[in-house]
Amino acid sequence: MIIRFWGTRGSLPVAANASAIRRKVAKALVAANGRRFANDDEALAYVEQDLDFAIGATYGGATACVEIDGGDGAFVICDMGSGLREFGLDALRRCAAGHPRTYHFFLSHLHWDHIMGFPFFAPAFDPEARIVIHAGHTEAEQALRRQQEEISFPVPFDWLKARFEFVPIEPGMEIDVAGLRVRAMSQHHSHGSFGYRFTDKAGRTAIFSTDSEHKIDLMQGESGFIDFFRDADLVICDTMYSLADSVSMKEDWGHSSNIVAIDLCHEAAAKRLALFHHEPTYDDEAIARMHQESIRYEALTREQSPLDVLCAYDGLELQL
Amino acid sequence: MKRFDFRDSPKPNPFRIYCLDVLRKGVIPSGVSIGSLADGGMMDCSFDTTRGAVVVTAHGKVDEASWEAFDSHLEDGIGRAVEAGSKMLVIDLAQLDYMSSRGLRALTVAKRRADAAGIGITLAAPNDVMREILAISRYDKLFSVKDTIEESL
Repeated sequence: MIIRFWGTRGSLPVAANASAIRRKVAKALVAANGRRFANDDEALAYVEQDLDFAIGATYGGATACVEIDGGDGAFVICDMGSGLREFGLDALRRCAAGHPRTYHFFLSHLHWDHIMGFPFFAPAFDPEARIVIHAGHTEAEQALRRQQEEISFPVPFDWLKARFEFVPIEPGMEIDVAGLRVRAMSQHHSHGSFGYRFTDKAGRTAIFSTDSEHKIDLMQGESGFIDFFRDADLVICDTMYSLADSVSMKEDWGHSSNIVAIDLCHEAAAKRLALFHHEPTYDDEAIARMHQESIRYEALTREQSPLDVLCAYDGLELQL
Repeated sequence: MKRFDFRDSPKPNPFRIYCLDVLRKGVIPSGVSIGSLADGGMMDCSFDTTRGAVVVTAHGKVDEASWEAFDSHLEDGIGRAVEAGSKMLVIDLAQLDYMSSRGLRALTVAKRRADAAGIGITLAAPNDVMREILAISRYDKLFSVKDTIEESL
């Protein structure tokens, strides 16, 4: 199973501005300390090997879109955030090389940041494409059509050429799609959201659980999430806020924290956690700091097997 | 103001009732620990009646297995503060190994109860691990954290 992160930001797409790029370049030059590079490849190797990720790269700013490649032909994609545009272009390249033109989407929910990439999803114009949209929300088709009404977008949904199917999915039910067994779970979020558990034929499991608030007064119900995350090879988790923010000013905003995610993964004996749905006001250094703190918290509270805590970024590819 | 009543607690706890009886009989000497729980001795509760604060002492760890007991004893502590007319609850962390998000969230629940009763909560004497956890969670922004119980009073 291969996981490709096409969009990892929460709520709103962001991009590093000129000032942020200048600061990265300045830090890289200072860190180089007079080193000379014979060519771009040498300089690139320095950037990749010697610089902190937050200086030499970026976590990116596209909103939620994650590809779950079960190796069975069809595309499987979680959410349609702005990262979907980049996925769509890459998918066209792969289809040109012979990849089947079937796309299975699993939608966590229908908030704008999770569907905003769909109007820019180029394969939707491919008459040979089959696009199956699995959603826990019965309004999925309405939501996609609505954002392409003329008041919001110049291209109406009915102009799209692909063959569309909308498939309702209910919590607890299991379906087999593209070589993956998929199970959904209800989550706490405004208008509700759904997490998905994907298991391939080899038994490798990835969880997609974003826009899920683990509320203080629902702690006794968290055993359901622990069961859902149980023994997963990867849990992609909404870790948008600090715990303090999530229980104070940003309570009921529908998101969770890095340390709740780590606790749930510890209790579920999950192997790896991907911090996800990054706060749009965080710059790369803030996300890197949150990542380091998360690694430290995992070590401080670990009782059994280590949990590998990684930080998702746009362009990250994981082989499970 | 809603008055706290131990007897309304959905989870009867012999230790809690014992503490309450002792408190009501007014026989607790200043600063004397009442005892420890039979469920592994996770927590002690003690009072400092002369300094006008209720001190709840936790030791061991607060995690998935123990957060409900921790929550229950924080609730007890607030109830005792109400009974004693105290405006301060000190949570003594000196003997606590660490606390996961379950315990931290129980602290938030306690803070809400305490705020409603006009009682302030201070976290006292966290070890280095707990200091890190309070910083990582940003709970050091939500709670007053003091190096010692004395500083908390």
